[in-house]
Amino acid sequence: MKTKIPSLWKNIHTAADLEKRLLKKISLPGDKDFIKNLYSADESGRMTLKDDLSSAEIKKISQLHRVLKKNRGIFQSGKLILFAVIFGFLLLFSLFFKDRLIEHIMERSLEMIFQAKTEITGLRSSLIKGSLSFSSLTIGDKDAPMYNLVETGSVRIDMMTSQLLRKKFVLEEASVTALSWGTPRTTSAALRSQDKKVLSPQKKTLEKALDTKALTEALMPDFDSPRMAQEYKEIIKEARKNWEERILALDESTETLKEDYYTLQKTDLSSVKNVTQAKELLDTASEVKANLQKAKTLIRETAADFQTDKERLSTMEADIRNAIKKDVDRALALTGRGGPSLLVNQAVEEILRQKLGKYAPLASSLLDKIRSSSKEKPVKKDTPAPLRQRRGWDILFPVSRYPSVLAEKILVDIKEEERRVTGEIKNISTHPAMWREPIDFSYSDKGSNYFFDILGVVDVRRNAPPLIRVNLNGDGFRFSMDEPSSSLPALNEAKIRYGATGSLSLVDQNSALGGEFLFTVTQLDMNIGEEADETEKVIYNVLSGASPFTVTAQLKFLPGGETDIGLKTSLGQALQDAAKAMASEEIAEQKARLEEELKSRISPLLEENKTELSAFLGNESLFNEKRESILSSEQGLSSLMDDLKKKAAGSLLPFQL
Amino acid sequence: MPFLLKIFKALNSNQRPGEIAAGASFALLLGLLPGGNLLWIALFALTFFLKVNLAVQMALLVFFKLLAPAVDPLLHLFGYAILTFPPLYFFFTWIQNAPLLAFTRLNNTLVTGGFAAGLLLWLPSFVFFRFLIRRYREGFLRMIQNTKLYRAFMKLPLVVKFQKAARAVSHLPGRNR
Repeated sequence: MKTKIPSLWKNIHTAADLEKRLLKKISLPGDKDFIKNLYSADESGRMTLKDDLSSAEIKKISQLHRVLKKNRGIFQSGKLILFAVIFGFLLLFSLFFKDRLIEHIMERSLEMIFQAKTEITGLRSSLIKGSLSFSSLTIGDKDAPMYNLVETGSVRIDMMTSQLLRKKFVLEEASVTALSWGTPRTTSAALRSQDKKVLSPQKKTLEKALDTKALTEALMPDFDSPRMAQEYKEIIKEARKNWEERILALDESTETLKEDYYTLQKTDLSSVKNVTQAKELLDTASEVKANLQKAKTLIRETAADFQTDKERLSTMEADIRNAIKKDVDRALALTGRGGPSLLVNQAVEEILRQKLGKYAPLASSLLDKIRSSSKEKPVKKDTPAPLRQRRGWDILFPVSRYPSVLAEKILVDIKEEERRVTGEIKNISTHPAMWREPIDFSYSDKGSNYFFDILGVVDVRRNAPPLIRVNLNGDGFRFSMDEPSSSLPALNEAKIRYGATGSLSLVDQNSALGGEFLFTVTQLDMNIGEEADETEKVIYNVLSGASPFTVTAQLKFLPGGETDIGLKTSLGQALQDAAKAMASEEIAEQKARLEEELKSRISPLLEENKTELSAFLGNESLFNEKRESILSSEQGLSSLMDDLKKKAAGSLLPFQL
Repeated sequence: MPFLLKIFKALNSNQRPGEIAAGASFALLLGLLPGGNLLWIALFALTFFLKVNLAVQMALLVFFKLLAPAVDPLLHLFGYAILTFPPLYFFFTWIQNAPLLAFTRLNNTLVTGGFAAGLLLWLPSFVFFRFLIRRYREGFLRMIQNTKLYRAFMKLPLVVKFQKAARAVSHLPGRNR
């Protein structure tokens, strides 16, 4: 087949063309000579390609033409196109499928957790920006399918991915709006029964694979702790038997030693008529005293032996606990690297067994080889020293340094029929000194005919003076008393409409918080019962007719927990005193309630401890009883001896006369 | 072996001298620039999309990497001078605060010095290497090719096989240079 000569080569008409279009683009001198020889110039200087080209020459021209084509441009067009295709594919996936996929995964995951239908709408995410947001989320209630467990409006989470790469967690915004519970649904939230069936086989496989029970049974003969526990059981059994016998022997010994005492106790001292009898009895008493001393020593020694045995048993118990820990470590070491890899290894083996069937033993032996080779690796002695790292100086430029954890904005908005509660907190961080903003927080509660706002700042940065400030603002509150007040028993209901404004801040270096709040009562309606006495009725009348009036509360919270409340009101001194007294009474009542609560909480614990202690001291009390018995015997003996001595002294006189 | 064959073939074929020279110049730039930062990785990745001779680049990169520590003191001084040049203060501050650019480690004297020196030397080295290749092809290669010894050598069975191997390498998929 004849090779065609490319048109480029035929369209060379001048020497300049030849140089520019061919010779300049060919580097090898031999090839240049070849090209020059292909062309001939006529008298006018016009270049023409030879007519009688051999097939070898045509082949060479084709080769050179391919080189010319290859040498065009500076980019690798093939690789660039491939890169553009991959990039385009990722871009398309990101634009059209990524969010749907994430939405689907999140819905399925939440359905698995809550066992009820979950819907997410309008999900948008960006890995580069580190953001995730959706327009709404509804999670059904599996127990009440026509109601939602949780429903939200828009949810937004923005993180700084650049800081995540620096191991810092910076949350730019986390907000939940229109959060509500128990809202009705139009469709049932019950899941189809098929969904549950899909999950079970996988779960079973894993459960089977993670069989620690089987592992324990297999290694049971090699463990130390069961053997030690058995030994302990025998020793404690023997000790109990031994001590039963010893206590019986002790009883017998002490009773024998006390026998003379009992005899002596029964002796009628009035029958002693002379010194000899008295002396004999006194000698017997001295012997009894010595015997009682012996019994005391015997009890002390036995008690000491009991303590030694007790300590020995405690030590053995502690040894068993340590042995259990060591056995666990040994079991992990025997299976490979220990830790979670043990379970993973077992899981891998089980999955191989199930998936590969008859080839499973081969795969298992390969796995063993891999494990043994990985065990042999960590000999680092022969590893070559790393190449010297090229260092330099790091010049520091001012950078926005972020704390390890920072939440710039967290917002929760709760919706309840006509009420809306919004809480927001800003600039929470693990290192407040590093972050440029103080902590801001706000709380807002708005109803159909009232509002209540709290704004606060907490600044504990090192380079700024400490500051804690809370501003309060509100209007339109109605206060109904469902239960009668302790200080105003006749008051059945009070409806107060008031506005409030004020602030709380750090007042001195002792970290005391102080502030002033102004309450303006615009309307006060009180409904009092018939049982109110005349004085009460007067007070209620004064209060009811006094609006509008103001109450200024001056608060001071000291670091020790003490609270100083000062009230000023336009109602005058009497009302002020009454309010103060009421406040004090309320505080005292709270205190008493708190004390009672604390005691009621602690008392079961104290009772429990008491029982434990008495059980513990049960054995020792036996020795104490014995000791007390001996002591009482000694006391009895002493009084007996005193009586005898008196008797002897009395008897002596008539003999002397 | 295919690696050396590629270099040999590149030098003795009609591949543009500029492609080989660009490979050498990029090797110089990457050699002077310390590794382990985003800038190095980006530059290295860039060369895969440009028509540069990667075999020459890799071979010379090893050479320049070994040589670079000898010129580190100079690169450090150069980098330090750039980083502390007041008009560039805001530029480097911006780089340090930009999300990904911070990982280029351009605040390091060696990185900046190596990068700046590499950029400055890129064009002269490109011109120099291109000149060398042209001189080699037009002078040395022509001279060698015209000797009787060369002609006799090229007819040796082993050399013929070597040439065939070189051709085979050049036709392997993905190894066209």
